[in-house]
Amino acid sequence: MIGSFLRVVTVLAAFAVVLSATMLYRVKTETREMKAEIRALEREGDTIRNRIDALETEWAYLNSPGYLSDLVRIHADTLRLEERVPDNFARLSEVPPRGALALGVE
Amino acid sequence: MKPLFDPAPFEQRADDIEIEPIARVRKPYSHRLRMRIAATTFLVAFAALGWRMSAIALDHDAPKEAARSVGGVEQVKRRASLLDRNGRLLASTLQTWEVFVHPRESLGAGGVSPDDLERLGEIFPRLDLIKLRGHLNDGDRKFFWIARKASSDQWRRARDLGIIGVYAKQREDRVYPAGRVVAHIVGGVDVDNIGVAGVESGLNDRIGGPDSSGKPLRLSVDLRVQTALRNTLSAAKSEFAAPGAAGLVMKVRTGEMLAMVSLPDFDPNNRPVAPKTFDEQARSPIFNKVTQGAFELGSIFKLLTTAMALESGAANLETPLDATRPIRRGGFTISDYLGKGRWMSVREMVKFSSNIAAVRVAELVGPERQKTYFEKFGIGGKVPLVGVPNGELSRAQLPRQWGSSESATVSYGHGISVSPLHLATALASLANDGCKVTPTLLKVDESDLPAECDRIVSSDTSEKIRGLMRLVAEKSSGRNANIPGYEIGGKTGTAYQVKPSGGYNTDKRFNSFAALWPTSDPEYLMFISLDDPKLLDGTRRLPLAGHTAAPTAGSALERIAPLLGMVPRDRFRETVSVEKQQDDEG
Repeated sequence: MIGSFLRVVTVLAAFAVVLSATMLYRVKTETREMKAEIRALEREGDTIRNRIDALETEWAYLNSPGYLSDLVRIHADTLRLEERVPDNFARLSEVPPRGALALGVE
Repeated sequence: MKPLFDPAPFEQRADDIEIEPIARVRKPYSHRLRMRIAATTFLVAFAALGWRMSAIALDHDAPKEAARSVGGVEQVKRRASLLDRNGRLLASTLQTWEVFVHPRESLGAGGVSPDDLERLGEIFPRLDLIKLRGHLNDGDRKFFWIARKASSDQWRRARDLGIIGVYAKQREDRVYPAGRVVAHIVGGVDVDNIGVAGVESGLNDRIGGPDSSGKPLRLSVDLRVQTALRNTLSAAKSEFAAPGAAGLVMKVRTGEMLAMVSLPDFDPNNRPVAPKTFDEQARSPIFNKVTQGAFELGSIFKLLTTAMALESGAANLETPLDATRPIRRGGFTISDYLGKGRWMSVREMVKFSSNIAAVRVAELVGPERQKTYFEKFGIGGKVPLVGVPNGELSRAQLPRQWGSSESATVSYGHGISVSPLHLATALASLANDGCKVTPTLLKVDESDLPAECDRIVSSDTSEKIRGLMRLVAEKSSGRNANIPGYEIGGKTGTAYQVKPSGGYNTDKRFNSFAALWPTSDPEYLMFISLDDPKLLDGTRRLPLAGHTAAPTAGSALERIAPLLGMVPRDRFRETVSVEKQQDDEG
């Protein structure tokens, strides 16, 4: 009686081992694939981040006040930009109406 | 009758049982033993299987592993970026490549074609092609640098040429897009990307330490104000043929440094090597005059002398002082430049910047109280500047013995050496309704400031000092800095420079100007210093601070106040900042 029971248990256990091994293999393969995917994504993220950093740095350089004021000085004839000084402030009522300057009206 | 089939084929009939001797029943490999072996084997197998499965299921190490290495390359924690108070980038870390060639390896593989060499030259414009061609033809060297700092794009293009023997090593570089403008604020890093000076060193742990979050760090600096101050100081340095200049702009309520400039400066992207001797250090561009310098700053100290007299009750603004003739203290004669030669009040002492009258005030206060008040004002040791390492802060050089003659000279800013930061912080505290100000290079949220005031003088004394500063800017030596509409207050300071051998060099001066605006409700304090300025305008005037540092401060103010959104009062009823106005309307 015990012998037949043990035989059944052994067969079931063997079956369970095979099943577990198969599942384990599948899980392991999936894990490996996912790891590779994560690594690829991280590499891509790293590359993108490096590009963003480079662009931000370039943008910061091109927008630095020193660089901009140099450009304004070089292109003064075209841009006709001036530094903001206390005399530049005016009341809204002091601003000439739109088109008045073009018509020569003070 | 014999049955056709055995009714119980698996049952052993009693008569079939053969009784064996006991010795034969006990076999060497019994049924029970086999069972045990099988059970143990399965147990071990299942345990191993279970352990492995749970290890895979839990997989605790996986995220760490992923974070540690990407593509087999060890990832180093990147230093956090530095931003100015408005979010403009001041420092960032870029991935770069060191590209090199092994000429012998290239030669062994058949050499490099002229076309490939030409393309390399196009990718790396600074590459010395003649030298490289020589090494590649001769194979005389094992190693040759193609580029020490190449971008990812440059390395990708070079790699795609497929030249045998060309390799690259990844590295990270700290880049400062604003360059010289923020030199002394950011400081710089060494070859291992560890901060060596300025904020990079003072806040190294927060920027790149093991506990750093990697998030950008926002500083108190306003890049626009910093640039304007540097440009103005640079122009003044040329105009007055000064070998050096320094300046700062501080927010009075929070102690935030909006700008800090020391000239000559350097490019933090290519930081010079630190000089070894003390004399060289003081002349080096990496020396920060604002924090590391210790200078006799002259008559600006009269404001501190007045504050202690008012606060201690030793005098009031109308107390009469004898300034009729020069006085002798400790073997020296103390006199006034363009003295009035009469009795004057404390108010007039500040207005006319009388040294003799300042000595009289110091006599009323007394050396002991004077020393105590200096310590209270932060002029006793080092002024902590948040963000800057302690080693970059100078200690105030006080008289060794604080007798009556020392007390006399200290009252008008001689015989005492401090950094511009010392004096600016003390004045900011006096102006801040008498509440102590701690200077910082980190952006401060005003709601995080302590509600309680760490008072160094009363509100009343603060108001009187601000009134005196306004008087100087309106009617005395500070007129050149009095930009209409901003309610500027100020004080000039002219001091002879101390000779290395001792005594004063009467040909060399150190001129300073402290500006505060608007004096009725102070928002900003500016401090300007010029090292040995000369007046080259053909006049025979002496290069006093009123003719050099004050107009420099005026030029800077004219540029900086509008940048900070401040509208001049003469054009409008009240001086209000545009930002404030928008907030109120919003």
